[in-house]
Amino acid sequence: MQANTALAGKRGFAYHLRRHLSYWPLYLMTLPGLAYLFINNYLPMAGLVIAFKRFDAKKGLFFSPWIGFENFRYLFKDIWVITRNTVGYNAVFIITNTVLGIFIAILLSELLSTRFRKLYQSVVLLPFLISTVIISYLVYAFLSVENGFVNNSVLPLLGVEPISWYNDPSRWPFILVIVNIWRSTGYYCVIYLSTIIGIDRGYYEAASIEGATKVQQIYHITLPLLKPVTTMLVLLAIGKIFYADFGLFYQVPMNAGALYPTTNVIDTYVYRALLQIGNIGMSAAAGLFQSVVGFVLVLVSNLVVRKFDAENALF
Amino acid sequence: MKRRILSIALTLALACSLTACAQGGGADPADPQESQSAGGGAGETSATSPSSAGSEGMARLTAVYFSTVGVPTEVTLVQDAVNEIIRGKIDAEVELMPITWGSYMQQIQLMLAGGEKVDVFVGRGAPFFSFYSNNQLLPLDDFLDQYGQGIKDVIEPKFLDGGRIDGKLYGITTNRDLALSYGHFLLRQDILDRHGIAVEPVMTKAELEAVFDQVHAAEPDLLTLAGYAPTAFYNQGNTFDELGDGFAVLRNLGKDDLTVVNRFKADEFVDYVRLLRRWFEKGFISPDIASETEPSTAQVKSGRAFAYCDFYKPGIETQASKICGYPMTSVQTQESATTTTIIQNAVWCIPSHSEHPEKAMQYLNEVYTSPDLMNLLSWGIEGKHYVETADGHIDFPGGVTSDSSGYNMAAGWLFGNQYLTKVWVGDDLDIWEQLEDFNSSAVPSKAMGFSFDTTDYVTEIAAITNVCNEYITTLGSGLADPDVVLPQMYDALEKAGIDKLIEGKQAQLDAWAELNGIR
Repeated sequence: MQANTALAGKRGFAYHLRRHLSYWPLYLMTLPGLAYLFINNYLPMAGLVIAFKRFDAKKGLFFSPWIGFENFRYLFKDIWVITRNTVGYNAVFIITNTVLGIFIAILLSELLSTRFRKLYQSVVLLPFLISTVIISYLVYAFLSVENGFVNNSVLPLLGVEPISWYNDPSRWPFILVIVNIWRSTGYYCVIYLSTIIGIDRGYYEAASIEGATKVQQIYHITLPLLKPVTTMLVLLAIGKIFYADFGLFYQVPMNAGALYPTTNVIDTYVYRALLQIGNIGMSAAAGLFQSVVGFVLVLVSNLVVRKFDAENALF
Repeated sequence: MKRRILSIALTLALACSLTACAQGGGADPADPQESQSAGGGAGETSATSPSSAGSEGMARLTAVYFSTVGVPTEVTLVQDAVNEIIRGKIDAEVELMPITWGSYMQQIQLMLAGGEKVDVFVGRGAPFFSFYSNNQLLPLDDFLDQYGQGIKDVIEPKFLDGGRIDGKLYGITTNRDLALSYGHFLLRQDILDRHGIAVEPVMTKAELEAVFDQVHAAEPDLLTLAGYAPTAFYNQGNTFDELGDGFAVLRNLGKDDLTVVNRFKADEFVDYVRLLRRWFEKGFISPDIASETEPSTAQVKSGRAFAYCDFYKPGIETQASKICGYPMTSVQTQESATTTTIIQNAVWCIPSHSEHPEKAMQYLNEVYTSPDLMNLLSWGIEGKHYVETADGHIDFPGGVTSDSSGYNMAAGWLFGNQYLTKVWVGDDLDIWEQLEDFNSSAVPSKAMGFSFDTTDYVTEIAAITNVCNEYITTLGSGLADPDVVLPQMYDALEKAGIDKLIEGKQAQLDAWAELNGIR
């Protein structure tokens, strides 16, 4: 990069202008996208000031009185539980999604029959396309006390007493992780599979001529070549680590109050706290807080990646 | 270096765009169906509005309110008929804009925040107060004196005061069931008859428990008491003037004194959740109640359940029997009450940005005093949406059902003065006299007319709301043992700042009482 800057210094402004102008069709093509970004993502950012104000309709958005960090105060009342839940679940989800996604993708890629590969691929993807509300009732069919499959068919076989699932927070970390695996693995599997299929078959042919086993091929060819896409997906996921999947944490536990200690994440917390009050400043504060934390996390994790493996860093 | 700054800026943009998504998601109601129907509703109204364009130069009002039955398809026909009547009287026309219940609060908040054209609308509950503190409401006293004499004649002053905040009138209540009777149960009469069990219209909870014992023993397969999440039976145990939030409250429905207490530490509350726990342990209440979402009436209708809870009002037995498909008997276990919180469940407001506030008040005045307008808005057009029967009731015209009717609001309580509306088949012909008696006889809370200014306490209220949500399902259904859970809840409430809330509310209440000479 330093060489570049040095070079740029020597060549002068006119050269650069000419060079950039020669790309004009490309700039033209990015215009609609940039306009979209500007209108949808940059213009509304002016509204973020509302997080620091006491909103007054008569005075309007920009003339309402400043109140500092008052709107943020409620977020910190339960900060430990909601941060632990939000970041904890998402960290586990990132690991399971990545490991299991790659695992299944490799299994599928080793299938010789293309037709079956396509079939399996669709089958594992299917849960991702189901609405969370429906998933919540599928889970309910398993866990209901009176009519649930687990309490009526599974536990009696094992000689275990029925469990009041929706009243026992300690079991929900496992249930939510399992539900998430069932739902999202297929999606990540498809992304990884498409990368694996794109790998030049020549590598594998060369390896097998040299006598490499299947496991050695996977370990030395597939995994290293999956690294860039894995890093990117993980970094993007880390950027969203402070955003919880609202449906998963609100619908699937059926919004049962007793489960809040292990199912309350920042999105559900904010939703429940503000549903009654309807305070504009406080909701803006929650959104701003989430994006700042997400932004910092992306910067930090990218910094870490760059330190160990500069080539795969996002920037 | 330049490249890195650029990429950081881009990442920031990405992060912020994610915020935008997340906010959109968070603000939506939990049920995606609801938000969909909201879109549909808004579309429908905006599509239909131009068809009845106003005459030149005449003020055109926009009335926004909620509808519990979806947006009626023939609302423009009703609107035209309403305009026929009011045009000559107040020299203005109105555009009716009903919005689906599930998304109403969100829609109206956005409309007001965005400065959209709204001249009168229905406010309710905590958002009513936030409209006030956002400076979005017009004080109505002067307009009421000048243009609303009819309203003052038909609404009792004690109820009108319920719409006051800081001494000024911001919302005008409708004449509806303005008193509430908590702790009211509806029992299947056929089951009682089958086992020869007698009940009285008014019983203590202990006497009622004896009835449940008998029914539970005789009909073990029948769920004794139906309820559903998230609140289960929590609200029905209310013996407090909730003073808005329902956390820092007055005991005995505010009839005794003006001492603000912690609801969850009050003896009545503790006794009630212990009672529910006992009922749960006896098997009266479903072990699945924490995840039950089917309304109680539906559970009774399907033959699964024997009894359920609902607020008492005159005519409730007839109504409940109709909904449940079984003859239902009403048992009251508590006195009826009327508080500011109850009044503020539906009040008509005029937004501060309305262009024609005086016309808006005149419009309300017409509606509150004209039987023709009230019947139009509540029941639709005579001959088309309803017909009068021989005995003086009204009913659907032949061939029309509640599903096929183009205008089936059935919400006389919402528009102004329910006492002026015609009586639907199934209700007693003197139902409105009964209702008026019921309302008048309710002893109002001493704090009637006091609205708590939440501005400095939103943080505490948000935090307490979260604590409360965590515990009310299990406490309100007997799922949890109060002796174990209550101490945990007290800890959490304390951390959330309930003491600050109580203190602040007491100070405001004292100041208000001083000003109004109440002790």
